[in-house]
Amino acid sequence: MLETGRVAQLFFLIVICAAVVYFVETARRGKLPKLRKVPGLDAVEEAVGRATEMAKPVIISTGIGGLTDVTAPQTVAGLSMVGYVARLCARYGAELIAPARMPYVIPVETEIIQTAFNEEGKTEEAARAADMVHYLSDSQFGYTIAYLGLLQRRKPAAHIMIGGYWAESLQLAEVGFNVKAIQIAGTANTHQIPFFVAACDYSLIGEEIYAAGAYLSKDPVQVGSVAGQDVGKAIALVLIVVGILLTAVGIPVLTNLLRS
Amino acid sequence: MSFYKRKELPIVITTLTALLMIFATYFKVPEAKSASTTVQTWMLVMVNFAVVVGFLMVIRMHKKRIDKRQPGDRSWLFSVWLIIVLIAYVLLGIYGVESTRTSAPTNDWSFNWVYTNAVVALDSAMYSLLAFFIASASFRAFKARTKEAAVLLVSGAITMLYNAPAGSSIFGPLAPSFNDFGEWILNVPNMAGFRGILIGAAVGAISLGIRVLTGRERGYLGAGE
Repeated sequence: MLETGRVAQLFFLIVICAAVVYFVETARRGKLPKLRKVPGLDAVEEAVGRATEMAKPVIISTGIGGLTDVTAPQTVAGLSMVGYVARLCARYGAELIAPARMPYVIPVETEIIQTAFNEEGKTEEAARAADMVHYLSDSQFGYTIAYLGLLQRRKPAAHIMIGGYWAESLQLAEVGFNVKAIQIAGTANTHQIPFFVAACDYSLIGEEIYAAGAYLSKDPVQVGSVAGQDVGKAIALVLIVVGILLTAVGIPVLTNLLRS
Repeated sequence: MSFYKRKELPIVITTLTALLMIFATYFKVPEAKSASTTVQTWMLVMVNFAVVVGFLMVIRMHKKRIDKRQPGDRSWLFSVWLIIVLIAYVLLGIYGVESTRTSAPTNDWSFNWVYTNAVVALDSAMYSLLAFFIASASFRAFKARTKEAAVLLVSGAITMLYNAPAGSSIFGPLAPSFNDFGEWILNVPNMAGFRGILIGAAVGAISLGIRVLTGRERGYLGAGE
């Protein structure tokens, strides 16, 4: 009945799900876990405020990943940030620009921005949400060059990048630095994280982008789910240590079990 | 509010689709696998329809730029050029498919010629520009202002010299030991850090998935705080 080689995967998926559900229920009963400070997320409001004061736009992008493959969680995390930033822009009256690569992300982003502006009572601006989303190109470097042009022409005061980025990450971050924008960037693509750390004011590393929605919403249930992640990490840590010890003494039990 | 505009409907669709995909991944049930393949085909069709949305958006955005042109500013000419090229390339693609009677326009020499000599060449040029961006970013990042930055500077310098032919020339007879050290930095501390981030990110993605599945994470739907 079960696919060969995926038994262990399914087992750990269920364990992590159970841990997340447990912490969500605990949080619902009022026992809130404490989240550590993430300076990059705390700085978002300051960045939008700076853009408002300088009468310059805020540029936010969700990366070049889509919603139909393994990069989807990163794009979803980026979209959550778009909603939060759009709400701040609506509140403070800052101009928002959201460059998009995937055509099917356009209606999603438009809807998010429209809802955010409507919720802040800015119905006139909400009607122009489609103009805030700029479709650039489906091609990776076509998108990059158009994005770089946008940064150079509009000189944003705040540049936020949350999502899946590849080779274009450093190019975007460097040009953002050159136009003197306050930059907050995050990705789960490990090879691009050093580029963001080197070129941006604040960077979100790996899992921090997934926790952004929970962190910013302050919703107890969402915060509880973030605490559940720690159980998954603890399991991984134990497996690594036990696996090293067993393999070192020539007992491949754990390796075989994980392959089952 | 009409039923299709309510937030519950997208959440129900997301949850059911995700559960089907998870089930088809872990269980040997032919019906589930077949349903999963069908859903993925629907998705491909929907995604391709969205290209038309993108095409129209680009035309609309650049038409607006042309309409709002200011005296003395000639940047609107780029928008005119973009629209001409966009339409011409679409027409060339249609011609390519029709003339070769295949599904790929690249089988037609004229479409393929433009693709190889313009699109691929420009892509490569953009990618190679990365080297200069790395140089400028490294210049700023590799300043030993703090202890951590000093570690970054030293390990970065060793890795660069280990990868560059100049490294072997500089270290002469010590080059093999130096190269071993460079390889060790790359494969041990660097890889350990990468894997730590990777494990954290994977668990984070699962947690986000659970929040999306249960309808708690609604940011992607534009829902409020």
